[in-house]
Amino acid sequence: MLVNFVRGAPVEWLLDPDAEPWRKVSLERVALVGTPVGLQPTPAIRAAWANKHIGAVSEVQVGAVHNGEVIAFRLDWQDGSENRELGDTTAFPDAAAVMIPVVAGAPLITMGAPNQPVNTWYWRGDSDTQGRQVLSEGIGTTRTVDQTLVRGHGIWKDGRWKVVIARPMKVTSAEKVVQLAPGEKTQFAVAVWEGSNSERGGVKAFSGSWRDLVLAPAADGGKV
Amino acid sequence: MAAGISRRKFLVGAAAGATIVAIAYWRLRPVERGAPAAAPTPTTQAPPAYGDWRDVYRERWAWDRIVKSTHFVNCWYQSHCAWNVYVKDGVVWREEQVAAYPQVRDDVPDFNPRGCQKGACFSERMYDPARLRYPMKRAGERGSGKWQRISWEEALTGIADSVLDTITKEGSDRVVWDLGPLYTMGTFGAAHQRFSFLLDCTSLDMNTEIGDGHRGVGETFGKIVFERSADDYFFSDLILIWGGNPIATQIPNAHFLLEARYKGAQIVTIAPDLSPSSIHADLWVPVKPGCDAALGLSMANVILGEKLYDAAFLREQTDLPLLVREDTRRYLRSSDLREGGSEEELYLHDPKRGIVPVPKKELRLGDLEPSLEGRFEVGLADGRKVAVRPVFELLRERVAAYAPEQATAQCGTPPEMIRSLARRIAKAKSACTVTTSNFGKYYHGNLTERAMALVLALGGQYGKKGSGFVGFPFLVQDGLEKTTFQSFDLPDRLKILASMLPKRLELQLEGYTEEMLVYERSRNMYQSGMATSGALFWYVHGGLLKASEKLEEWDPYLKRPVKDVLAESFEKGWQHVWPKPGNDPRVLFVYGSNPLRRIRCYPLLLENLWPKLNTIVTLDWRMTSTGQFSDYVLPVSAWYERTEHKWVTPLMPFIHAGEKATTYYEAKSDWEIISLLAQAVHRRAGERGITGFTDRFGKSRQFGDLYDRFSQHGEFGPTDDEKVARTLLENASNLEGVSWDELKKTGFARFTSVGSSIVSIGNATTIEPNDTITPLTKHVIEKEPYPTLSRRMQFYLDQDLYLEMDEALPIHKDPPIAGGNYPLMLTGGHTRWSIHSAWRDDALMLQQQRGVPVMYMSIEDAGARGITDGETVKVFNDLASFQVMAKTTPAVRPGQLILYHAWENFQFAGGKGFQNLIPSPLNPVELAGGQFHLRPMSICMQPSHTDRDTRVEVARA
Amino acid sequence: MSKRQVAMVFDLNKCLGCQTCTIACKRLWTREEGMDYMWWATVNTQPGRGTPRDWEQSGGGFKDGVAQAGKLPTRQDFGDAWKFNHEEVFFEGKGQSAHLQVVGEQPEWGPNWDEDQGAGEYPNAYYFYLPRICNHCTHPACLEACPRKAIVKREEDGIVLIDEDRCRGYRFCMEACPYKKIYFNHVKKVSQKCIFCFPRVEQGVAPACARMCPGRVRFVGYKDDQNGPIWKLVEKYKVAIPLHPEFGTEPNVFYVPPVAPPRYDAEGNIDESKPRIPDEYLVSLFGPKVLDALAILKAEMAKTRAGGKSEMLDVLIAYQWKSMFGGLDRDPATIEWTKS
Repeated sequence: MLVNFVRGAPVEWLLDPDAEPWRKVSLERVALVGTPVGLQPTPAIRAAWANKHIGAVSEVQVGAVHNGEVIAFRLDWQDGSENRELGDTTAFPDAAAVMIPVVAGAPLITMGAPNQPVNTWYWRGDSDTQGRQVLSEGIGTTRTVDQTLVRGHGIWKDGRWKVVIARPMKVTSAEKVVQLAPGEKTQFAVAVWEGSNSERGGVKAFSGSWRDLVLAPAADGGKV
Repeated sequence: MAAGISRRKFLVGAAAGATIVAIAYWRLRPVERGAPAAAPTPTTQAPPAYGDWRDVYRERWAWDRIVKSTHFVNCWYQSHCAWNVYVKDGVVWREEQVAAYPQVRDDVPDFNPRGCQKGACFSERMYDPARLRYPMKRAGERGSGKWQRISWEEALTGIADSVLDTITKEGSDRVVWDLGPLYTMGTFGAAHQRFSFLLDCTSLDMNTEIGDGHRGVGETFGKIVFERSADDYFFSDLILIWGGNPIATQIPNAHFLLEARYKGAQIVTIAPDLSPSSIHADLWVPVKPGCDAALGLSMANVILGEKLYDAAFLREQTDLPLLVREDTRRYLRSSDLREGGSEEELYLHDPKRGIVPVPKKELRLGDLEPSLEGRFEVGLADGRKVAVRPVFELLRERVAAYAPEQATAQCGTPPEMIRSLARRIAKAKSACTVTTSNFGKYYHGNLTERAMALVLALGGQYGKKGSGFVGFPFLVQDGLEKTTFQSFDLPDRLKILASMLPKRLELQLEGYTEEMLVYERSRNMYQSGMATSGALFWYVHGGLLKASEKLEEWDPYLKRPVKDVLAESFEKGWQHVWPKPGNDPRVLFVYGSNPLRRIRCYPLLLENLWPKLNTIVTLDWRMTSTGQFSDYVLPVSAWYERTEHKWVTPLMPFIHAGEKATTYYEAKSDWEIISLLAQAVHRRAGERGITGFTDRFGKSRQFGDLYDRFSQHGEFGPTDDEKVARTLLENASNLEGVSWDELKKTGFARFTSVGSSIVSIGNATTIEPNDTITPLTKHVIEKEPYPTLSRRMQFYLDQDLYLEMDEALPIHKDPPIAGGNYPLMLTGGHTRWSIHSAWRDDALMLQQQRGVPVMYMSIEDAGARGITDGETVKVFNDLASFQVMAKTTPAVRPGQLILYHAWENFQFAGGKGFQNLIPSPLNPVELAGGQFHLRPMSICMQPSHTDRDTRVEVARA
Repeated sequence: MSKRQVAMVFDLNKCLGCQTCTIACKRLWTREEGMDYMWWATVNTQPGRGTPRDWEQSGGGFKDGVAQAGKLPTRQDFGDAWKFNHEEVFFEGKGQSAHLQVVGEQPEWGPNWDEDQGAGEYPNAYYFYLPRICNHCTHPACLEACPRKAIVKREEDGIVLIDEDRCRGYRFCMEACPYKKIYFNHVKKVSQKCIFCFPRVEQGVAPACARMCPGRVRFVGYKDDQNGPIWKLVEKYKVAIPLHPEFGTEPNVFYVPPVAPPRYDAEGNIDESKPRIPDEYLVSLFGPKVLDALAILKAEMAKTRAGGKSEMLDVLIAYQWKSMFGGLDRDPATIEWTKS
């Protein structure tokens, strides 16, 4: 997937799925699969989900842009219910994430492996604009690095989510998070949690495999 | 105080009819004090620097400082508990028990930790929206909920003017104080007593009105106050929880019962419902509500029939050997035998010496062996011969009607159960009852208490450790009366002392014990109207008697309209009320009380009394059902905001104290409020040119030195709470070696004797530092006479009304159908969830219930009416109706409804509180008087209010 | 397995149902934002639906060592947090037209909703009080269910804690806990539960629910301390048994079972042929060993009734209150915090 360069686009625009830059971005369809119950990290989760369908969202439209400093992913998907609140104890919010390997070849399905970390950028409906950046090196190892660098915003309308997740491409961090630059190539994956199906944690729909991600150089390409 | 006079006794008493006061008989205490108990040495603990989330919890538990306190409310049976109040950033953050009570004996458990869920959340309650923050004056109709915030100055001036108007134009007795559960007998009591004594106001004695009068106890023992310490249960082998629910209502004491059970005591709970106290019993004996007298009398039948009684005990300790005339059914008196003979000299028969006067100065019989049986002839002064028989024989005849097979129909207890229980009581090494202030709330509760006292007496179950039927528990520091007395200047004091001494000496010569002298003083004080029967006050001035108009339909045993009996009683001076009937009350101080919540059939008060009142002032820390209908509400400091100490009961024989831990908006302590009010009256009298008034005895008093006297010439200023607390303690005789400075550090101190207070001396026992407390040992062991006409436990009462009602001996009477002929009996009990109404609307407590008032109902009764658990139902009878949530359970006896105590009226739809349909009919026998121990005195032998006999129907709302 | 394990024994024959433990805990720990509906310590009348409602039928735990699916209770099942309209009733000029009630929808359940109701038929009704906290299990279902390894069992005392820095609020632990003793903080978005008052235990002070219990119900201590009450009651006298042992989590709270008064036959005479609380009901709560524990307890009570001595009952009596806490008997008032 090509990440278009949009010169001079302010971050506010990038974070607004209805804003100008996104109109020109063509979204790609990405099929999602539920994480296999057998791969759920704990017996209790496996027992709870043994007879329940994991992965209520089966496809998502994905696109991305950058303005030379900030990269933003756009995820759109059909969803009959807007689940933004934790509300009752039994309620879970809709959520989405973008994952990028820190080390090339890190396994996706186990969310990395020892010494093969992956970097995940989360958005969750209950804390709309505040994203979360996580590192993991295998199932159950996820560790929140910060809740400041990743920002997001979602709009639910007419049975459809439009969600943006953004992060500066280069960040100053003591942690070994992904550093990106225009013109680079890497991979990414996406995941979507359907709150009304009690999806959270490892119980989610994801893109199944890494997909290529090409960041357009900042020099050429488009402008708003 | 000079050491030289420290051991002298000063004997004082109150002169009948004097303008003043009751004063204690006290003893000045030695100056030397015991060494203060070592306070635990704090060790310094630095909170760790923030590492992770765990430190949030570690820091949450930390605090700035700790202050000792307790909840200065009358928890009565469960009072009191020493608490550490944890303060953080100037705010009371939480509380936890001090839990440092010493173990009294190695073989009984200690008192730790005490406390209950209500005390454990007062730190939440004191900041909740029910708190009063500022003085307020109503800005609409009474009860409209429209208020105007005013300054203290405005409030006190307005109230002072109303007080002055009433006192000078209509009489000081029309200024009435309703005293409630916040009354401490510490600074709170000192403030009220000084003010009302100096201005000759009327204070309501509400003990019998609330139903704590223990009339049957008073009728039998000549007093109502006597109770054991809770650890004394450890010496019982049979504990009868009969008329109480200590598991729910004596939370801090209850462990002693359950631990006694482990030690080998058998616990028997006698109650209609499977109460929380029944589930922990070895035997639960179901009984029909209000029919316990039949059970008791049937047990008496078994004990007498099987000759299981303790004859020696009966001869010495009871009136059962005393002789009664067959013709008049009255005791044989020396006035029968000779001209000018005494009405108070009674007789017994001794096989060797014949008919001889009952020894009055002590119970010891010497070589007498009074006959319990027989029929004897005696020649009267007029020459006639009449037959006399011992009470014992009359009793045997009376209980013959209660053979278990017959009594079972009355009380609902199977015959074999009655027999087995009777035998257990008679044969127990040490049997006792846990009987709280329950039966006084039944119309015929006195009969039940008399029957219970009798059963235990037949078994000789008194005076031994762990034994005995019990009265009302009360144990106070006895410094208040002396402190109040000190507000009079020395010449006045000497005058009073001089006037009282001769009468006192005379009575002593007649064999009056110290206890009897105290009660005589109490009766004089009661007669003077400084305190008057709250029950009669509401019946007469509150219009409550209207609800008794149908009593003839409700009580089949009634011989004539109760209003006729009331007229007779007033006329003969058996009972009386202040102000006199016809003199309408004008000012009502609601002093830490809540009459509109408390009083059965309260709508009659709003209808009849409220219009007569010019000014109603509620002093409280929170808004109440009565505050809502007051003209002024004044914010009083809540319990952690005051420096105070408070009375307890022998169940927990430690005085408790606390220091002010914080302040709240404009709330002031009651000492300060009443001091400022005294100043305001003083000032306004001056400003308005009013010099003085004539008190109810025709003596003139001046306003000019009012505040001077109140403050003892400035010695006790408005913010001198601590000084007052200290002085009260210094003036107490029954806390030897306890200093205020030590007390405020420890939070508690053990009483050293029952002291001389009217409300404590009746315990008639000693308090040893290393032993449990058993009541009545002065009588049973030391053979001091009981303060009754017969000087014994008295089961036979020959006063006119008792003879008229066939209640000379205890009898079972079916409960009246108070409220009309409806199938269900609405009963109640103290709640686990509040002390009176103080926590009734507390959010945390409500969350642990159902958020709204509930009424427990049997599955059967609910089912028959199509009512399911959780449904709102309508409860109604001839008087009124209310709505409440039904809670259905198989634990409740069919036919009975249980609505626990103290819901506020504002918790019911339309403000219609559950007491609105409780008629509280006046039982005519309670209007008795005239005879030695049937004369009214402080806290007992006054008519009462009752509620447990109320009949209702219930329907889906 | 932790090196040591703290535990409690609750004597149901001493429990008053007074909820002082409940309130002690509430005032100390669960008064912050998001915790208003939490009651880490609860007491329910049994039989009853309890808190959260029907928790015993909510799954979770283990069967033959295999994790079982569990349900998530709702806030309403826990009873939610009620706000009342005091201001409206007192100060807003509405007279008697407004009465005190819960603001909004009227509750249909609460943490102690079925207080004193029980089961059976009058006069053979029966009930007793069952206090509960987190069991700090040896085999904690919550810990094993958490995909984030956010739940730890401390080496030094076996206290099970949710690491609120790691917790992401997934609530798998809530589902997995068969005792339903985990709550979700909707403000902090983390799961929370009884912490066995670890800050107190660290200072040698017994947990608040135990130290503040006026019924002297709660014995505390280390399981392996042979001088302490836990070892004596659980191992030596075998009079205390766990709740729902079949849940497979090896709970570390143990119960002395209730001895109820006898029942009555149709004529109203004592019927000794069966107990008031049906055995099968107790077995359904505590497993078959409850009958042994009851027999042991009754035998000892018969001994003292006959005038004999019982060391076991002396432990339960606790002549000295402090003996209940297995050495965790420090007076918290002896601690003075310094401001850092």
